[in-house]
Amino acid sequence: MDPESNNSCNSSILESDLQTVNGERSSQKNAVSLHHIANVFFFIGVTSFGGGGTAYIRRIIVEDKKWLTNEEFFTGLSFCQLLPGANVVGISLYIGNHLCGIAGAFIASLFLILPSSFIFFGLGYLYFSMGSLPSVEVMLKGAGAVACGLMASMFVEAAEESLKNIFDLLVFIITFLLMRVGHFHVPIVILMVAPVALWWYRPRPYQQNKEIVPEVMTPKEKKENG
Amino acid sequence: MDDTYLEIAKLFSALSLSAFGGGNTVLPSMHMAAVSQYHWMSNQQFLDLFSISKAAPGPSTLIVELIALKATGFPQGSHFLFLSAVIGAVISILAMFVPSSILLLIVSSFWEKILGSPWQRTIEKALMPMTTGLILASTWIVAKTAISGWVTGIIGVISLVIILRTKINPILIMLVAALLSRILLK
Repeated sequence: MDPESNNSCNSSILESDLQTVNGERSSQKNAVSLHHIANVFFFIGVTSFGGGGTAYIRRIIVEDKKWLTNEEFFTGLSFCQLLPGANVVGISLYIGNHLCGIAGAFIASLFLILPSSFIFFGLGYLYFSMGSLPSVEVMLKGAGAVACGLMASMFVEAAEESLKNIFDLLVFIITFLLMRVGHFHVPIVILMVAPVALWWYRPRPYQQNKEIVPEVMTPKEKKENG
Repeated sequence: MDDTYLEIAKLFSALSLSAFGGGNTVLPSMHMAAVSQYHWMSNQQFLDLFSISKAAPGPSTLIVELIALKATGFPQGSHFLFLSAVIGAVISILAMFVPSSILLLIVSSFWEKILGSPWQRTIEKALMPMTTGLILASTWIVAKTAISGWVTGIIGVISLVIILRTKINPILIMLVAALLSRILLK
């Protein structure tokens, strides 16, 4: 790799990072290069077992590497749920794009999928040429239970991050009930719940006026007002 | 043979764009297509591929690669065709991941453009509690298959506490749990 690869992949990211005034919201994305993204997603790809892949990615990217805040991560995850496609690939694209633009998205998804695809090819070849499955089922039971714990941990983090008032709690419960009891498909649930939530949190006029307030009495207006 | 490539490309690109809520949601359609429609494999073989895709590292949606490997590399009554299998695998991966990825990239790029605008905060605040509901729903589904008795239940709860309280990599916990269940669930 060229020596510059260790620097930030995109200088414009620095600007956008400065725009996040709130300290809580700013993540360390200006320090991340394509090289880092490739390394980490390669590691994630070859070590994620037994489901709960998005929870594993959150654990590494948000908690270990601190490349994204919880808020940024969960927003990306909601896009993955809104759109078709595998969630782990979707969230990798979102994270890569957030850190380094389209190139970052490409590298993240490529390094997530490619190494695993070689392993899948090898396992598939062995299975079809031998015609049977090695009995690892008992061991997978333990790993599957941990994957379940991993998913539950992501739920705990998401609940802490997102349920800030009664309305949030209501949206959360209704979404869950529509899925579990109503057995609606994900896009249908989103189409039912999202418009109400968007309306509830719509940009209020007074928030926009805050920025306009200092300009209210421009010289021109003074003249007009007499 | 060329027909199979085309069928794989058409099948998986259509499934790519209809997999709302994740790759798992189109598994029944994949099952139907691979077993009943195109007769690429037996029912048992599909179920075995499903187990392999869950056990192998990486996105379990790579089951498309296993299906393509069988359809193009091990056609009925033939020995293994390496080159065909590689071409089939590549086609299946591109067909399954490229269409949905383009959609996600369009939305992500748009999102990065509106960072800092009032609507960005609106969308963030509105989607978050809904996402939490969807995460709980999928945790529920994972739990229904993964928690099958006392041992797996206890392993699940203990791993949840360890993951929340410590910085231990979940893979280490999984390895320990795998060995534990091998000893306890003979």
